[in-house]
Amino acid sequence: MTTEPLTLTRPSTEELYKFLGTKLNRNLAMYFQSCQRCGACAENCHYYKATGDPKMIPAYKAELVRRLYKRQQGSFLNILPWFGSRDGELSDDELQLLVDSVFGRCTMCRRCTINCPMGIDIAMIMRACRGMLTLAHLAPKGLQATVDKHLQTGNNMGVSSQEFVETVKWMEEELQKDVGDPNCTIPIDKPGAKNLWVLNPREVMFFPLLLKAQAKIFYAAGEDYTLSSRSWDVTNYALFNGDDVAARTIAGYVLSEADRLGIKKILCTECGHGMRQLKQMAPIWLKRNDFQVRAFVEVVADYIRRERIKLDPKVNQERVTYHDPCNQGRSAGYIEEPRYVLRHSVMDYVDLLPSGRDNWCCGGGGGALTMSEFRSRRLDAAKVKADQLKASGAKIVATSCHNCIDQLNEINRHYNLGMKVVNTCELTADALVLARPKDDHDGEGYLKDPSIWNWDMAQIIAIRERVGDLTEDHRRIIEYVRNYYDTHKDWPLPARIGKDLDVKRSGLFNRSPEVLFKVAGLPNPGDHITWDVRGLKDCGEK
Amino acid sequence: MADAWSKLIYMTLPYITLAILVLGIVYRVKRWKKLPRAKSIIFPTKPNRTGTVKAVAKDILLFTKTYKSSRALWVMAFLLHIGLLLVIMGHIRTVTEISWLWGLFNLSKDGIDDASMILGSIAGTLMLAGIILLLVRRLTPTWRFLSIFEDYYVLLILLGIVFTGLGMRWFSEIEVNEIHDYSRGVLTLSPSADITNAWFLWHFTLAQTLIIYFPFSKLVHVFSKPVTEAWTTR
Repeated sequence: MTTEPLTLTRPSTEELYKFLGTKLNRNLAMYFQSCQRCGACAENCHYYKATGDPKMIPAYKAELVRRLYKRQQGSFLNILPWFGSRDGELSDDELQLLVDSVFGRCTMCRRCTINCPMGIDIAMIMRACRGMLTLAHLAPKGLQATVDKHLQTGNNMGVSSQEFVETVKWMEEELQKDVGDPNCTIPIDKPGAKNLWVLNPREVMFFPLLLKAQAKIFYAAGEDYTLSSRSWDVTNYALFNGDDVAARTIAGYVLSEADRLGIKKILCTECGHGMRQLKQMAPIWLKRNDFQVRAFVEVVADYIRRERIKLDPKVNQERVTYHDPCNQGRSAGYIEEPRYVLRHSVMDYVDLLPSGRDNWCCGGGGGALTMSEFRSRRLDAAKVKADQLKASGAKIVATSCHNCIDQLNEINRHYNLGMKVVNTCELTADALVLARPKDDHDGEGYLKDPSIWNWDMAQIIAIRERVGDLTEDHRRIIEYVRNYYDTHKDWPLPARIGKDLDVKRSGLFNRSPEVLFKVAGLPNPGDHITWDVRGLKDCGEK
Repeated sequence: MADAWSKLIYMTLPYITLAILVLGIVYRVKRWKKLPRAKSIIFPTKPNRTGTVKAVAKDILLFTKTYKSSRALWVMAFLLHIGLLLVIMGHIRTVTEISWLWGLFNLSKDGIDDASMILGSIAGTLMLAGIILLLVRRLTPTWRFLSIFEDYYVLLILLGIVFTGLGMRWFSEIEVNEIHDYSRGVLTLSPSADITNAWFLWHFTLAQTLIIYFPFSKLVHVFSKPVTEAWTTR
């Protein structure tokens, strides 16, 4: 790496240490103290596995940051020279080594974390240090430029609002031709829609057909959604440069648009980190959790389960495998959904080995694709992924993350894999059968006509909602809820049900009042339910 | 001089050690509690707490995560820890005789001594093997690059403790009663310095060095591991 002359004045060492101090929390302190440097992480890092270079071992990278903290914190252990801190300024060399390590040798994929015997979250450590280096104006230029562009223009590629609307209109025409329905639209700025659909600028700039593919699925499912012409970018690269202020601002763009349009449900495109930062980080950055974030695969899996769309897998005959994006799979827990979608969309699906939570990172995570200075290292480390893909024998690799797609395309070229890299939405859109099934329930699973409810129907709905066979307890609660509704013409609060029937912790009906109401055949409460906490259970503070 | 030295080790040091251990842990926990809680979600949590507890307990008992990552490391770590567990259990005898327990196994006083001679030696040897393997592993180029002084220091002290402990069993005449009497003396605040066994002197000194170091070292993973694991285990 070449050191270029700095154009901005770097903050003093004290200021940098002060910043580190603000990032220190109970988790980090415990991580630093409990790392045994046993090296179990080494085998779980694709950088180390591909190169065998000990500088790539996650524990070493964490140790570099730990040393910073030892100096910053100080302690009475400093009286023993070998434990303690060395005083003095952070030199250029030290800072460059840190840049090289925390930006250039880690994609924050957290595969080491789930396999660490001590449960150390390396990504949290890396992010603290990345934040410090960003403060010192040392973050890789490509990454910083992406964040700056997002702050300046509202999306990370600087697409103007007019350009965006034109692209969407163009795709709307294409979609109308495709589905043969001149009335089908891709709504923009439609207030009061149920879902706000947010995009990755990569789709708008380079792959507008992906917009069409997704819109086609929404059309088939009869989804009520809208795009925003102002803030439609789900990405947030400040998650990777560790700048919390920027991260908060960027996450706020999307949420303020949702507020403007009066929408509580955000529907993310297939963008791994964008979905995760909105779902898991934004509630903390912005101190609010009155919104619900859903990943695209989650939504499509839901459509299939509720028979809102019909798929014909025979369209996709070739063998398909799925690459788990780290942010969506390992970190946000969407393991089953994409597989469910693919099994319904293609004839021949195989898992990679290892897959699911243990799947290897594509090598482009953590903003690595924006850091051109580390390109050759990134591609070397991707050998692990390339071998894994080769071993699967698949012709097509699907994934649900735009960042992964770019990296997988590069791997494909670099290692001559001869595979096709696609988004899962493309395969699903191709397999769509557009005649919508006739159904007795509305889009969300409530009966259109509650008066036709009977116990047989309750059992059918229960299976569709994944409750399973109805037991005595289920029936008792259903009877209670129906009686309550008949008397009060209102939906009972879950707390009240629990209190009256003493079933508080039973876990029946998947702990969801909505599911209960659906099975009990109550009408759709729509906006009456303000205490709907479904989907937010992951957002509470640790 | 030698006499004064052993008096210091036997009569004063145990109390200093204990004070540092307790105060050290209190100090560390207090400092830790001053820090803010982490707000970010590490991983989506399991829907039920029992699932997490089970997974963490399994990992603590069997080192499943280490096994998954590296078999060689698992063998070494498991030897060390299982040996350590047995040794710690054996050391209960230096403070108190658990006669009801021996009764369960139909062991007489001599029987216990024989059993402890064999079991203790096995436990010590397991631990010794684990420590030596881990030390050798640390000295290979990759892991030497990763290791810091603390890593060697802990292993070396442990090696010294186990070596002197085994030496005391194998190469010297020392009755468990002597140690029993001494530890009773320490507990009743009337310590004596009667034991003249050099192996024991070294064993005892090194062990206290480790205990003093405990609250400030990576050895606190005894306490922190269940917590950090619960954060990340799904």
